[in-house]
Amino acid sequence: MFPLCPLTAAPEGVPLKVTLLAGGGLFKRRLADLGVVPGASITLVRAGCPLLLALGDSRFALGGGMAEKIFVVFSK
Amino acid sequence: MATKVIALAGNPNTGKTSLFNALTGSRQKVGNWPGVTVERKEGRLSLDGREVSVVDLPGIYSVGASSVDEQIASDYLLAERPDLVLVVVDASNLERSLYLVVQLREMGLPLALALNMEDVASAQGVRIDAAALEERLGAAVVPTVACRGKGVAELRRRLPSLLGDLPSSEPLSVPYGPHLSPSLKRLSDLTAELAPLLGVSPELAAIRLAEGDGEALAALERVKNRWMIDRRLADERERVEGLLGYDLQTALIERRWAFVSALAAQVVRRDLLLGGRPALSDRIDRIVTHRLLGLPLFLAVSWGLFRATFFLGDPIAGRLVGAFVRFGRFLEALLERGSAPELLSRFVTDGLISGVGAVVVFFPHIFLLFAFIALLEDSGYMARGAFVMDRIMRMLGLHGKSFMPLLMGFGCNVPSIMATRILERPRDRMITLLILPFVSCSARLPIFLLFAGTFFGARAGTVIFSLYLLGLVVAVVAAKVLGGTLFAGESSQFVMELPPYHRPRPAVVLRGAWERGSLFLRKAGSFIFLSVLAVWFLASFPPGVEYASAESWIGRIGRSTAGLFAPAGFGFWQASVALLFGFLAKEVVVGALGTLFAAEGVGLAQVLPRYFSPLSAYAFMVMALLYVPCAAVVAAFRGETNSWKWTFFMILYTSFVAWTLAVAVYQIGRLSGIGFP
Repeated sequence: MFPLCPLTAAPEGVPLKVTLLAGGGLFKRRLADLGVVPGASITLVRAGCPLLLALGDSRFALGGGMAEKIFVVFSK
Repeated sequence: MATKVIALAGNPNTGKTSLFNALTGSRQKVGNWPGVTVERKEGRLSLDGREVSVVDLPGIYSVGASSVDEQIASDYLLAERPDLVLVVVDASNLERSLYLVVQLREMGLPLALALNMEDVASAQGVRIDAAALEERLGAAVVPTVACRGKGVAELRRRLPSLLGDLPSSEPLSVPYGPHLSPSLKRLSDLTAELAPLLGVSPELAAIRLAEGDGEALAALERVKNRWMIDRRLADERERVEGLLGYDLQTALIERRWAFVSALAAQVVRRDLLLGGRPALSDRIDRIVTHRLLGLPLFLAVSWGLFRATFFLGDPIAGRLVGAFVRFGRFLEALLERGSAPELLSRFVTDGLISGVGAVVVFFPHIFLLFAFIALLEDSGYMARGAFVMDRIMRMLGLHGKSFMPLLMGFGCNVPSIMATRILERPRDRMITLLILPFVSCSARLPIFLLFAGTFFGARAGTVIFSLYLLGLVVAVVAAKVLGGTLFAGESSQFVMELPPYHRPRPAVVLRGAWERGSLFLRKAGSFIFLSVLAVWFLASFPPGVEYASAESWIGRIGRSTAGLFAPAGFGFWQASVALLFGFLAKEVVVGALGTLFAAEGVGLAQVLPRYFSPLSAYAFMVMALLYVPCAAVVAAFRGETNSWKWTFFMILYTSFVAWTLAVAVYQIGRLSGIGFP
């Protein structure tokens, strides 16, 4: 189990859990509308900038500036 | 009785546009690019002899104000109060779609669901209990496969009763849980005055405040007990933060998602053997989004399609030219035999045939280019293109999503200006809008083909390519300069959904190409026709002057402006007149030159070398590439920016850049002895 880390530092292909969105209102709102909320299970499909994220059956491309403000832990 | 209105809402890529077409029979473009439906589209639907209006809203993930599209949709839903909101949901990804549905039901809007892409869902082993969903949401649910018209009849059958004058449905109340409910309750005690301003109940007003909704916070300025609400809001935020470790806004949205997930779990049955999103889609993504392979692959695909456009388009265009020439001769003979007045017969041969004919022949190229773009969009690959381009676009101070309008700009600047609406931040949009005119649209190609073909023979292809490249370089430099001066600041964050791949549907691709292509033809039919008419008129009058001579009206205009272009090597009146009319539409430059030089009695290929050297021909092409885009683009630009100030700025700065570079090319070429002056 690794400690809390930003999504930009997380490993690929491992189930992750969102724990913290460290940004402003609009940033949080935009992510939350897509389902990226504290507790959500996500997988990093492709690390890098931008990175590719899997959330359920959806895939999102996310810019680095946003990814570094999303904190995750290894789930289970 | 007023016409009933159905609003069509839903996430991007749920087949909303397909359903709109299936219901109204309207012809519209369907693509995989998130947010392709950016304009407001309205259609008519006849239900049991009653006319119903259908409004297609932009694709959105939630109701709020975090993008232009969301703003349009929420303003419409709250202000216009349609009689029914038909939400198109993706059955293969129900949970995602349900978030918006729940939000809309919270607002108490009368809702019906089209459970679309039901075929894709079944293929993935997803079975949805429509009856259970209907009961839990308090909204009609109809499974559909809009792109094949399945379920549309059933939907039409149920719509009349849904549009009936029933009392509007009770708003759905989402259980916000023991942590948030007390906060919301305390807030709603204070929102009695605020709620009517938002057109919602006090409870919902409290939810929207807690959610940090821009509109709700703005309306707060106008209520008397604002300070009380502000204080309560601050208290509740602090309380929730202390309780949960994250803020009220996030907590609220998280609870709504929890409700949505639970709801989805109750109605969705998954066949685990078939399991979810097609693995193939992810496997393709492993390759096309690869760190090293992704970009070259995308550039190769773009380049290949671009080349194929000309490889396939040239022979067809060649045949069209032949047909046009024969048609012209036929008309000429006919007019001679009918002893028509000389003015009329000259109008037909000099004006119509040489002008319009030179334009219509480029339809094959434009049709093919749009077909290939539609192919990329419909397959889902275009979104991956934006993904792999993001890093490069960012280096240029742009946004990954800017690539799409820029690529479309090669076809025609008008739709690409419309396409900039996918950019959420005004800054990104303005920069993209301002550099788009430098992207060489297909209407500029006729000019390049004529001049490069005449002056550079075997190297024409390289010369044309260099011009496309020059347009891009100028666009990049302009983006850098604009981004560093007028629009200083960070480019906005990049978030984009990548839809699963699917096999492109020929009907969708062909329809998309036909619609955009025929738009060009219609432009060629009316706009260009009028401008050719104007050229001919100005060239034939005042009465008695030799056609297109320096004494004609057009010649006088040209002579007074020609001096301006002397430093660029084409300081004769015909060139400035042609450029002047290029403002009506760039392809008219060719038609105008044809008309203006028709008096010399030989084809353009023989006339042009009498006036241009290869060097000044190149300078002329640089000018034609970069100067003020055509009137249609200027009109679209004005429409999108809603500002005459920026429109005039764009006209002036493109003219300045074009003239400067044309002069630079000619002078540097002359001094270094490259040209043959």
